[in-house]
Amino acid sequence: MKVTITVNGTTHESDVEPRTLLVQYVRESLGLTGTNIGCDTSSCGACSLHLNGESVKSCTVLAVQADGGSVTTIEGLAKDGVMHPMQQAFMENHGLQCGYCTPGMVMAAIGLLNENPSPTEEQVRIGLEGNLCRCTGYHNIVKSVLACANNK
Amino acid sequence: MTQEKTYNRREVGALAMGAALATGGLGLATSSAQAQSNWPSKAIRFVVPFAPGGTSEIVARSVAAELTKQLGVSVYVEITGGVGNGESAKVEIQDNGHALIYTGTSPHGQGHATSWAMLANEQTGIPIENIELVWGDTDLVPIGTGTMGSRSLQQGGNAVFAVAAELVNKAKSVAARLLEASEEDIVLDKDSGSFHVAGTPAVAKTWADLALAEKQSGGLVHSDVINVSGATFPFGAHVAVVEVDVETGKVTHIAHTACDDAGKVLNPMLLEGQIHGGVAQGAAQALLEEVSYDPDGNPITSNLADYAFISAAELPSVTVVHMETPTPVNLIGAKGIGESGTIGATPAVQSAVVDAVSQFGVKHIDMPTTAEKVWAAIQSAR
Repeated sequence: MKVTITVNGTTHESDVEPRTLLVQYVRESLGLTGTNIGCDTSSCGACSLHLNGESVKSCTVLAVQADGGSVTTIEGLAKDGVMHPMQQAFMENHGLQCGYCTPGMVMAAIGLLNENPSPTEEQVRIGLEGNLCRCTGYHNIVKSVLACANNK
Repeated sequence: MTQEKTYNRREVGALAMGAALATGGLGLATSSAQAQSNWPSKAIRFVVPFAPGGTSEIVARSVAAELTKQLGVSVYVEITGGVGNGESAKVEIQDNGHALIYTGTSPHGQGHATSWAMLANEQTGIPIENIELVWGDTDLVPIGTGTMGSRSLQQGGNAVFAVAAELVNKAKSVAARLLEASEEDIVLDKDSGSFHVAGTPAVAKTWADLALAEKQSGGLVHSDVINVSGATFPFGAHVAVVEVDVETGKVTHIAHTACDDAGKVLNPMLLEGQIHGGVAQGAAQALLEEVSYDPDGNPITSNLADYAFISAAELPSVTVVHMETPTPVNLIGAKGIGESGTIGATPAVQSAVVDAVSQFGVKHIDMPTTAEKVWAAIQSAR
């Protein structure tokens, strides 16, 4: 099927199989491997990216569902070599260790602040419930998100 | 305390004492675990003679919730760095004066690139940003034991520290030759990362100068396997606060404080990150994570949809209390920290849950303390 999807500001016209997942499309068709696949069951959130401004788990979105839409992946956050404030906050607050959950966590966190720019700690914790991390105990992830919210 | 249990987890003996309280609906249960001297010694029932949903009920619920928070404490001694007697390290100076460190450890989020650079910087004066870490490629690092058993800093970091010191000695002999001076008179100015004769800093040789001078004779490099004399014994105490809803069995982990003495602290931020992750996994083991099998032995928690992996929503932020008792076993004074959180947190949280419901006669609940199991334990003990 023909799809037209704008990814990180560039419009791509692609021919995809109907079964192609959005995460396969960005990773395999476009080579944007910053978006990780963790569980394939929508449980871990490693594949989170933005579709039309909202955080989605791209392992359970079909590429054809994104037809005509706009996608932002982790590669699309930095502008002119300057990190997005959320990336900066994760770096400064040691919000990552092995880094596997990080792209999805950062995308989900940005989505969270888009919906609620000044969340409480509890709201951050509940808002990130769908993104799993084994290394950090979430402590510094929550700290990073709150720091980013407070710096705005 | 009325409870005292010994937990064995791998090589770890952890003595855990827990006390916590339970609340549910308007029936407020308080712990008897804090000994008889602590009033109250049995469950208190709040009777609110007004309709549900009103101000009185809200106030009663709020007061009850605050009254029921108490502590579970776990004190442990851990053995770390027991794997392998030593680790390999190689420090190599490049033409531009930058350093490459080859390590036999295998970092996957622990921050060795940062920590090993800090250690090499301390010896050589080469700026941290000019130091790169090489690991994992057996063509480049043929000898190495790896990262396990909380050994990396005390063995791998220690090796980098010792090898970098030896490299400085080697560099001094090269500098002595170039400066036509005696080796004993050469000093390293760590602020500028250059060598000069004591008293005459104006004429100096940088790391790059020395690397260039040694280029034809194998380069300015030193490698070795540095042994340590044995394992180390970090220790600490974890305090967990949990609430149990006695009507549903639901456990909420509301606060956690960890004091882990891992010896000399090289990088507090990385240390705390290790503790945070360990506490989460340790608490998860007591609260909800479990690998299950059906009666035929088939795994039934084989993916993240079935396995209850702990999320941010089930955990509190962790308060870390620093304590440093350096070990004489290695040059740095560091003991292990990678697994301390998992060791202290599990008995603290588990004991807190059991003590919270001990006033109903519950003496034991198998981990993990899921709502179903806690509720069933309360029902059968009542």
